[in-house]
Amino acid sequence: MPIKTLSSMPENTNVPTPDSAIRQVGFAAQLQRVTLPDLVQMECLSGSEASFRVVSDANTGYLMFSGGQLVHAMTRTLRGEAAAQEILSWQQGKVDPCKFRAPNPPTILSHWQELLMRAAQQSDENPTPNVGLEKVNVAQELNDSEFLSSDEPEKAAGSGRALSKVIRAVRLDTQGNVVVARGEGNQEDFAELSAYAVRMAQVVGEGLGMGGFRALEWTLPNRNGLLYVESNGSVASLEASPQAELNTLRRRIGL
Amino acid sequence: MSNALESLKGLRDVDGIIGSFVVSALGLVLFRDLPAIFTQAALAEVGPRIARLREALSHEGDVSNIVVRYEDHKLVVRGQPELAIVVLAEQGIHMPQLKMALNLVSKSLLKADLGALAGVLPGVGEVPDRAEPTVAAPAYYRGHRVS
Repeated sequence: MPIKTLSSMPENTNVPTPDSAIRQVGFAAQLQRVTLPDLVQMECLSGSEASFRVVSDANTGYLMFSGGQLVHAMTRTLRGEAAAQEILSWQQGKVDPCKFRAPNPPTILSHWQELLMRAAQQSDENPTPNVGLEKVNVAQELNDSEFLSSDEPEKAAGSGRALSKVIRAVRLDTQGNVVVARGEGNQEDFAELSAYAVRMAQVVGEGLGMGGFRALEWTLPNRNGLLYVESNGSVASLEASPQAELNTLRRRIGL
Repeated sequence: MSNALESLKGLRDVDGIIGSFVVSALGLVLFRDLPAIFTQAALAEVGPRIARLREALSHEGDVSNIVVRYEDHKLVVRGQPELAIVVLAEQGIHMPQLKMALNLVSKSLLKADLGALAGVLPGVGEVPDRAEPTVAAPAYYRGHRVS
């Protein structure tokens, strides 16, 4: 019996073809031996709005797609295009979807094809991953306007020392979306913890007639936490080692 | 129990303290030294929420200290896993004084073994509203004297 090839198969006119229909009935898949450039290509060509956590050995990074482009990437120490280049240099690991939403404006402006070209070029020129990328200290990262918005740059600069022992930090917008995440561990968990703590503090304050909630500090055996609500309703939350000097930050945010 | 209540009253020696109460790990309010404006019903709602807040923050070991800042007030929670002292204070309270006072009160409460008490006694969360404190210290709420 002859084997039918695809071209000889009758066309199935009942198969729904619109993208939206495909997405609604899409598969959950586990693929092996897929490279990160493959993933970028697949997500960009499909116009994906997804975000992914990439884990490679001890490294963790995030890739976020929107409107057919890779619009944001971050690692423990890098963000934007530098982070994308670092992640794309990783050779093996695991990729999982995550709930992070890409920030607006995007931190990556280059077209995704250009990014892949550069990553391939860098891989050719420099087979050792991560060499040649300018690393940014976490403290500097926290100090940027995206995480800790400040109208007074000189005060922001002064808080750099205070933040040098930061273990992890997240910033949530008013809808609870994670717009910035830094540091170690599962940042989604920390974001959820922070959002829940804000809510609990608010309802406790309402129950006792304490007025509007402003900030929360907590002490754990090996770290201290500080969480506060900014004037625009965003929530910034961080955990730092006990050696961190947080008074400068407290003063800066008016505590 | 009366010793524990006396310990709580001792916190009022620090200026700016509105009142305090002790809450179990489950959120039961075991003792209170608060103005009558804070009803038992309000505390019955607040207690479990404070317990949940403590539990949520205890992701890397037990949280020992929480300071919540509100527009006009502070809420300070100091405790062991089994129970915590919750202090309602004015915004400008002298924190070092409060911390020292809390250290002393915590020791007193631990001697009373309240953790065991909270687990054994039925209805222990239904402690009636406190009598007026024996120390005639004025109490303030949102800037107004309430006792």
